[in-house]
Amino acid sequence: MVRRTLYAAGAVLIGVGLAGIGRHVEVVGWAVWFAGVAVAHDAVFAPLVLGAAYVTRRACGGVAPRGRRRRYGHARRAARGARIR
Amino acid sequence: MLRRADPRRLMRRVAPARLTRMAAADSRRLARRIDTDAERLTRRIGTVFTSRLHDERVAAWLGLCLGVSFTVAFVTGLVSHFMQHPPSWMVWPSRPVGLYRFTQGAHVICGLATVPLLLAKLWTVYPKLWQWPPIRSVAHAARRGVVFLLVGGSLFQLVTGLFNVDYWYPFPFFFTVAHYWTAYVVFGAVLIHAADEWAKVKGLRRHPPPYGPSRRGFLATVAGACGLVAVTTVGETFTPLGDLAVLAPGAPAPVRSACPSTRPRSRRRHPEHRLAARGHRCRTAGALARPGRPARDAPARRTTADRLCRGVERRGHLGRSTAEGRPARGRRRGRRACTRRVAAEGGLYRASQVDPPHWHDPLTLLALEVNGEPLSLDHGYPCRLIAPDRPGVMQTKWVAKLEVS
Repeated sequence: MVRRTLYAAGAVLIGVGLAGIGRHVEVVGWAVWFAGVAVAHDAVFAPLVLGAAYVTRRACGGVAPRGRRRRYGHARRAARGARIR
Repeated sequence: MLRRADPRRLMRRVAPARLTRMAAADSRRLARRIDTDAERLTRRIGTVFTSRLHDERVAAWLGLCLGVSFTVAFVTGLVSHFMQHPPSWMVWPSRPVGLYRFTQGAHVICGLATVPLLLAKLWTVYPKLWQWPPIRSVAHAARRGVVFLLVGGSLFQLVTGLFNVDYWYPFPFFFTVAHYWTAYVVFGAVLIHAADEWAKVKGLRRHPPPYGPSRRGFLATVAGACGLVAVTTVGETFTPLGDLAVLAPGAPAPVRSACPSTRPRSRRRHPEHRLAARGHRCRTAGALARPGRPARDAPARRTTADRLCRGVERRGHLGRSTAEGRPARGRRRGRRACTRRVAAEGGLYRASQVDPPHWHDPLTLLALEVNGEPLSLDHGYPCRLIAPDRPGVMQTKWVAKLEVS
């Protein structure tokens, strides 16, 4: 019930927002900025961060010391199932 | 004798329906190959994310914090909007004096502190962008659509908000209008996303995560970044920490030259400039202040405008009230005054309405001086409105007309 209420409220708010944008905002410019920031993040910013992380990891020869990895191995194994793929 | 087949004759022999089927099969094969290549590429990209911080629990914790910060920003943003554009049934109180300052301080602090939080969350869930197949069903497509609205809208709000902090508007739309309507889209997407992901957040309580130092360190780093942003912004609202407010809007410039293109330099400097007062018991106009002449020498008449103005003149300070400075209590109850800035023609904030709670508040002033000195042009010389618990854009500068209705 709560879930359905949240879905309904969210849909109404999105509808109100999009209708307001259609009526009061210059839509094309808004859409370009709306999608542009998402694309800039996902296609430019995030890959740059991942690349920097990769270079850092290679340069440092790994993130965590071996002893710690062994010590927290159980946590690692437990977390493996929940890892985001 | 072997003869080469004529392709045109061959084509004629093949029935058109068969040709269509062959073309469809070819396109299916091509699509399958593209699909396979894309899947291979996506799976290969997926192997890049080896960090255990790309984790459901980290994402859930960050999502919980983002939900709180977005809610605070949304509610305080609505306060600002409805303060500036009140519906007929709504009257904003004049007390406590710092209420608007508090809500908008919370809005800005929450917005700025959300930047590291949102970037951390997007980094954590970034592998989900490369999931395969990209769309599994109609419901899954709708869910991803909502996530796009959430991600795009959140980034849009933060990026345009940061530009606004710096008074830089490189976009082709009016900031406050786009910020306001996009907030509905973002908060609606937040509600739907919360309904989708609530089970994972509940799981945080049932199964405490087996924290290793790196996950805890990651969350602590994000919290530290958010705290640092908050501390370096809060001085805008909380004066004792003013020296730390390096990220506060407009810092380090303390005064913003409002409307430089529409500043009425010549007209307001003119010695014959007058404040026109119209409406109930306001039948006249009085000269306010003349260059090189103290404002208190200006002719005074017993009008509402003069009462307010002369109250300011006598005090010479903003913020201290005396009986002379107040409009008579009881007589004006239920009426609204409207101050109007004539020179800023076409500007959105050239007029502002003063509702009864502010109209009757002794701290509401039409100010001519500040600390014994005439107002500077940027501060609204020769006359400006100052009222408690109101946004800056409604503290109308260069007041030329007062209408009481």
